[in-house]
Amino acid sequence: MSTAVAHAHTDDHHHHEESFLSKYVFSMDHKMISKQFLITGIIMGLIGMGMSIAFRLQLAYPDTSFPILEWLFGSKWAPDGKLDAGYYMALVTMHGTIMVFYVLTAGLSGTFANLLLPLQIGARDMASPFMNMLSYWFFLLSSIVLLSSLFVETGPASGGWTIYPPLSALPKAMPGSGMGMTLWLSAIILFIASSLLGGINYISTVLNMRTKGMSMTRLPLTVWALFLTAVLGLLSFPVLLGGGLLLLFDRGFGTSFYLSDIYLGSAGALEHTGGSPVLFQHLFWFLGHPEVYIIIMPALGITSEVIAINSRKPIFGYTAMVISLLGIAFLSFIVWGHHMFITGMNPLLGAVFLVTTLIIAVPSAVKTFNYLATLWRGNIRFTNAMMFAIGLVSFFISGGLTGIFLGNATLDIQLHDTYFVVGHFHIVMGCAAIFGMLAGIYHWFPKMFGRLMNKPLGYIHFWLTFISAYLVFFPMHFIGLAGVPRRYYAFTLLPEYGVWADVNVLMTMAAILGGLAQIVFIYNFFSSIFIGKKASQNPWEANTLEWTTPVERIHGNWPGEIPTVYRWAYDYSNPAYEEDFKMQNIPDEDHEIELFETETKLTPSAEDEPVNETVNFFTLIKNWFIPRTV
Amino acid sequence: MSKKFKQQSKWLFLVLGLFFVQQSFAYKNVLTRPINGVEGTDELIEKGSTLFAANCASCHALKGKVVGPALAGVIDKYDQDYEWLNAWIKNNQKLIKSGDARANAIYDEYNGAAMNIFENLSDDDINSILMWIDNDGDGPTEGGQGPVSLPDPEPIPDSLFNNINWAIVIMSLLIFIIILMIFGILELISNVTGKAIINWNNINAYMMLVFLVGFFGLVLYEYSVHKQFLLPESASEHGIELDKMMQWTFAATLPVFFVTQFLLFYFSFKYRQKPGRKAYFLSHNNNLEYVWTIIPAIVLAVLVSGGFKMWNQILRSNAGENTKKIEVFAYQFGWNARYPGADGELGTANYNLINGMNPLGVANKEHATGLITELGQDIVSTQEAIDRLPHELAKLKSTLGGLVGDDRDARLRKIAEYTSGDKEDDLRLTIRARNTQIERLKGALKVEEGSMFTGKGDDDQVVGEIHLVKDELITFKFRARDVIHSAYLPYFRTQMNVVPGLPTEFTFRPIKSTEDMRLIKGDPEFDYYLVCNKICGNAHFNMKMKVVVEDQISYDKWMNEQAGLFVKKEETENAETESTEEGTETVALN
Repeated sequence: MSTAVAHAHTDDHHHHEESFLSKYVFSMDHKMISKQFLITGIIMGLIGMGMSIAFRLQLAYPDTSFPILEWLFGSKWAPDGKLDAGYYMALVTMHGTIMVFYVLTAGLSGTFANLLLPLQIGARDMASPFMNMLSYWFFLLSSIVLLSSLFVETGPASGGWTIYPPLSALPKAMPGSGMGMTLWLSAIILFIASSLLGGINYISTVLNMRTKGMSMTRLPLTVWALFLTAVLGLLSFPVLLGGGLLLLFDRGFGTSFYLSDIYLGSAGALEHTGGSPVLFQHLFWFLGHPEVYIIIMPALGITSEVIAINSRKPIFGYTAMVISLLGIAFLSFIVWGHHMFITGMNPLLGAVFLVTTLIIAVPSAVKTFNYLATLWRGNIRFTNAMMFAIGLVSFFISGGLTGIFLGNATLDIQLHDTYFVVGHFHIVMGCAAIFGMLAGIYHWFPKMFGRLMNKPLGYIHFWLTFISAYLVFFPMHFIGLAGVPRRYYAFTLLPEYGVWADVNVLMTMAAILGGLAQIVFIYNFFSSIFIGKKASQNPWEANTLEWTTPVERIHGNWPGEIPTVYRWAYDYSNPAYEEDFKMQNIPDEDHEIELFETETKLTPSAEDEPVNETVNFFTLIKNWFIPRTV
Repeated sequence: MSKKFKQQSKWLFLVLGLFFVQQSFAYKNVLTRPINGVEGTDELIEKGSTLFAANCASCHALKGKVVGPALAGVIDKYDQDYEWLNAWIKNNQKLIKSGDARANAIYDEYNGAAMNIFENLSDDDINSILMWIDNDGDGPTEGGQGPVSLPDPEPIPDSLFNNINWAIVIMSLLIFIIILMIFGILELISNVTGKAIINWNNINAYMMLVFLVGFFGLVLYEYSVHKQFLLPESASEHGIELDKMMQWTFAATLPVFFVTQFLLFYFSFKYRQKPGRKAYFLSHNNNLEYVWTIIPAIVLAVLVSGGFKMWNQILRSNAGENTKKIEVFAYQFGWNARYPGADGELGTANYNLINGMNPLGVANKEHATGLITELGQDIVSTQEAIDRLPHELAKLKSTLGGLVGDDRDARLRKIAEYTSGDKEDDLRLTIRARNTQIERLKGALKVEEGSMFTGKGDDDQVVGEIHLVKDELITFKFRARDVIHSAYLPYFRTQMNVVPGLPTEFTFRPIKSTEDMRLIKGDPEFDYYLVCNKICGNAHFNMKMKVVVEDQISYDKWMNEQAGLFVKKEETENAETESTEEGTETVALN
């Protein structure tokens, strides 16, 4: 089977007689694996979102009994319909873990890297389909292990998704640090295995399996983003693996990597000595910060593609976009310390991380401005995907700007671990990345299932989600500025924070509204698989190679030869052509020119943007960066 | 006490409360029985209230579970067995190890999350706490709910849940289906006529504008409503600078926020698709790229240099060298502070020296010697517990027969713990840890030069609230007992993690006294609090300590009332009798 996938397809491209098992379950076809990732991701996403609504109920109505919570979590964790304090922590922890790793890492990268990399670079499948299958199964196993911890007697891990030791290392420090924590760590180790198997595959596919003519500078930005994401994951996940294993040793085998000088109320003075809890935080955030970009970069890549297609314009500053992606990817490795400004890390180190952190805002700003410039004078089609892409840009601006506050070590003294942080990262990586994912789902749904999703329902879904997301997370900045700590179950002993009660009610209402909006999406998604309108081969009139494959989604992707690429991916509304798009595989009949280079000559309307090519410092640098021939 | 009587008395006191609510004395003795042979008095109940707030409230409430169980009715729950209650509260772990059935049942119910030790509480203290609990806490006289008792959950009436909500669900489902059908019909029509009935593109383009207006409107509205709560008045010197930096950052980011969001939605609206139009082909413009690379870079460089400078000023200047130092100690779930006492120097402290009487582990030779004996006894009792295991296992097995359902499962799990050897391993590990601790203590006692037993800690005062002198530079030295905590003082713009095994500190100058801040806020009840801001366990949200900033005179007065930790006995007693009316800081250690 694996040999068949690897090379037999050039001449043998009709369907194999495949059993149900090999087609839907142990499939090695990248398109099927991407669907598996997507549907698992959606299910995990619903679970994670449900958890957030449960604990938001507690925050808004700390004194009210909700029988539904008791029905859901049982009388042990929600006696009399009121969430237990420990279980509140557990829900917060599981929500974070599920959303960060299972939805926005595996669900997003896993889905779109699998679907798009082979299709957009012109390959029949991944470099190693078998590893690809393993990657999914490790992911599923990991999800099951994680969810199983919900049914453990002492409850799931509840030390926050960052699982700082000693709290997470000492089973006696809190109930959630018992069996639940062991399962959490096991799940994450399986997850890392899945992520590494996937990542190696994505990288080798992009580097080795591009079709003829598909140079790196002609890659769609989605591919660039997914490729760099895989590189980030490959370099940073092993660090968490190491950190997690050492934590397991500390928990089970009596080592002292992270533990020292501890007297535990329930166990007395511990033997551990010589370790450092801060070491774990360094290891964790060495993954944890690149992880943020592992989450957001694929979403930005999808947005670049969707915005360009639906504005009917080339993405503005392709080179700048690639350079800023590279810049973000590199810088993301040297900014992890901004999560630790006040952890007792040497303040000198804090000052260094302050500098690197604020530098990373520059490439992010460049990306935002390029999106705006792409919209400018476009011919915008508001497809569902386009709506979500615009939503993403809005979130990226709002959340990115608050990052400038938090990246500044001085201001972080006041804002660290307050609701300001919660608002910031939910907007900039939570909402933005989810919107990128949804944009991708709406956009490539025809490629996955051969049908279109219901458009009006998509609009309803977008507006409800967009408005409720802002209503939930925007007020958090205000609460945080007032100094309200995050991860508080109730403000029983701190009545001063009672002034925020009504805002908490508003946020919970908005969260419930957002949750209901996802029902619309779920209905739309699953019903469209079966009863959606049949899609044409290129429903969005896009340029990239995936739209040259037949609607039937055959094994091996292209029935005949793999198309050759003659141009970059963004030839939209080029005045040299009649129609407003030109697919990458269409050769130029008359003149073999690189339009990417000579666009100034081809633009007839000189009065719109006269570009004076006088020789100055900038043009010199430009000429140095971009050679005349690509 | 019957339920009916409680109800009646509640009403009675609600009415009475209306009369007495202005009285400073809020405790009305409604005890129907003596506690442990002591008749309840208002003074004792009041003392109990203070002790409860200082020692118990972070983990317990009267009604509703916090981390530990609800304490209302606890006396009757344990059949008025005061001896047992005293033993449990003082050192529950000793009781568990002694094989006491009730103690072990609680321990199992809470999955081995043991309660802290309160050996510093005397029998009288415990009696007064129990008295306060039996008195319904602060009772109805305080208008229903005291700050420490969680209010009763208000159940949503069944009828509401059953009728209206289901009606809403069915209604919204119907509406959803109708909307779906309308869209379907419209699409059919447009397919037949060949004309689009709804121009979604235009609708969404206009929605973008509407959203833009609504979004900015709501942002400004919320700002107008909440601006009074944002960044509370700074009460520390560096806080004023920090606030300025915050304003500069706002000045740099808010215009960008408004301009870019405006452009995003405005472009979306303006350049919506129109028939016959073609987009303007513009693939790149490097000059523009330079502009929006360099301008943000310059702005950020300015912010970086400002932040860098101030960060160094706050955390890396050596201003802390000659300041007054106090130790802030965090544990699950509370805070303590340690003042240096008369000698002006904090004595050495070590986690190996912590016990019920010395919660911070301050070094003192006599205490260390006593602790070694105590640990030795602990080893003996643990060994006894190990010896008892087979007997206990036999008992568990022999009574398994009658159990069904969940009880049987729980019992089987418990038996598995015994048979797998987990239980024994756990106890053996305890013995090993105690032996290690004894060796460490003995080693430390032997050290001649650089010994930690310098006696400097003997006059250190361990207190349950921090008092600071206005305008005096102060350094907090942080130490954690068990897990990572974070000391957060929002009014002082101060935060630092408290990490076990890693000393951290923060130096600042408070410039507004509690009284000043009360005037500024117009709230006579206002107090500064030190709260925990790093997840540290189930009662994380209840970890707080009062911080009082006052003038030198009141500070000295307060300081004189605080007894040294290991000052000779007569002195301590004197100090205690002096301070009985004032407060209970000396006893409220834990």
